[in-house]
Amino acid sequence: MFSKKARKGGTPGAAAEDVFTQEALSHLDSLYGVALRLTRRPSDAEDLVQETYLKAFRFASSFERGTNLKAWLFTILHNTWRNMLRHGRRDPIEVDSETVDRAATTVEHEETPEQLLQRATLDADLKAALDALPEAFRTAVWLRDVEELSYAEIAGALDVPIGTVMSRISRGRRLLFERLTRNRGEATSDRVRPLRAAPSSASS
Amino acid sequence: METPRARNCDEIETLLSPYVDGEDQAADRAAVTSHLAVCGPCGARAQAEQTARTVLRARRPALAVAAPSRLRARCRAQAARPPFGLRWVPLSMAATLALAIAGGLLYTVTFKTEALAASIAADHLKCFKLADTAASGDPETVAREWERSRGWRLKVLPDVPAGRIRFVGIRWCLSTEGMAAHLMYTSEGRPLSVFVWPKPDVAAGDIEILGQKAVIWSSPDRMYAVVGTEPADRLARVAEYVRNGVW
Repeated sequence: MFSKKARKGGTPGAAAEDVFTQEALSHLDSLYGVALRLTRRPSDAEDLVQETYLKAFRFASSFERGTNLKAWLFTILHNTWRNMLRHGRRDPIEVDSETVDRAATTVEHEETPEQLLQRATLDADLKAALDALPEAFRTAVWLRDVEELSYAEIAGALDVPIGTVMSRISRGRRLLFERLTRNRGEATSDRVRPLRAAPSSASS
Repeated sequence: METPRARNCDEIETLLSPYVDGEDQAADRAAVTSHLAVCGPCGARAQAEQTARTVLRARRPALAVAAPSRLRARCRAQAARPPFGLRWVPLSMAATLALAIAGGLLYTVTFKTEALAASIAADHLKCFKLADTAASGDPETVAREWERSRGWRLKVLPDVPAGRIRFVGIRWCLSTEGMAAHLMYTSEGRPLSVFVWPKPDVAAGDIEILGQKAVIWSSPDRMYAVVGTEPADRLARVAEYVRNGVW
């Protein structure tokens, strides 16, 4: 009675790529950008993105139509990244974000945005400064200021409370500023040192 | 009108990024503005944050990266297998799937129904799940809870003492065919699974695969698969029970 027979049926297969596939792939550059910031190695970033799409297409039916597809893809990417870390891939510059205390920003060089934007090496400096941030801050700032996700979407993607997102964005941006104004003209990626408290007289 | 309570620097710090982004509430904005007017270090922090934000956003095009074209091709290829949703590859086309089962063996399966059967047979042995959800209890409560949380009605058939069929629990499974309810029973002590999908489909048949037997069919609004190591006629009887609720 039991055999490998199966009843035929159904319509001819559609060869065209469906809408979901096209829309998902339209975010490839964004996903690659985040992956590059997380892994800091192009080959790892490619693997991470490919793994993300594998899961996205596999679990496509769990995506809620009408919600932000890009944010959903980022969530998968971030989860996949977390798994990669758990299974042995060590992030070489991982500073425990809790040890970076809230210290007053020492503005050693008064730099306005206009002045910074005129710096010839700014783009390279920016990337280096981002890559030197602790991963939690780096991701939050990137998703907010480069990918323009909402706080709620970032909280969902990173699976943290919204207050944590705001705090990470705030401290990440400030650390970035620190880096940009201290390493004037040099693209470095040395270890992030805890900020020293400002020697000002202001009481907090 | 009450003056808002003055905040300390720690509280202000948590309000800084919505302030800088212009997305804070009016009351918070007032509190931050008045604090920044009198607190140099916090003012410096806000300034630093604002500057970093401005610079980042201005340089977004330079920071964006074009993914390599080979990566695009690789990711596009992921869409081809497995099929999205319930858009089936017709049985006349050979669809090749590689499936890993518990124990790490790799099987290559052709034809849709067999691929489905292999997938759920593997699920029967080791359920693929994103979240660790397994609920047990009486069938009625479980069914009600399922409908409440998943949004579609699921009939959970009760024990059949005469047939030595006992309901064990339910899992939410993500198979290659989408989300399914995985109802776990024992049948004369052997594990028996009933998979239910919220949409019907054309794949159907009686399959023997991976040491399991599977009976697959659809009703107008659901697809079912009964999987176990039962003798053939007993499994057919169980499938009938699932189909019409009579043992």
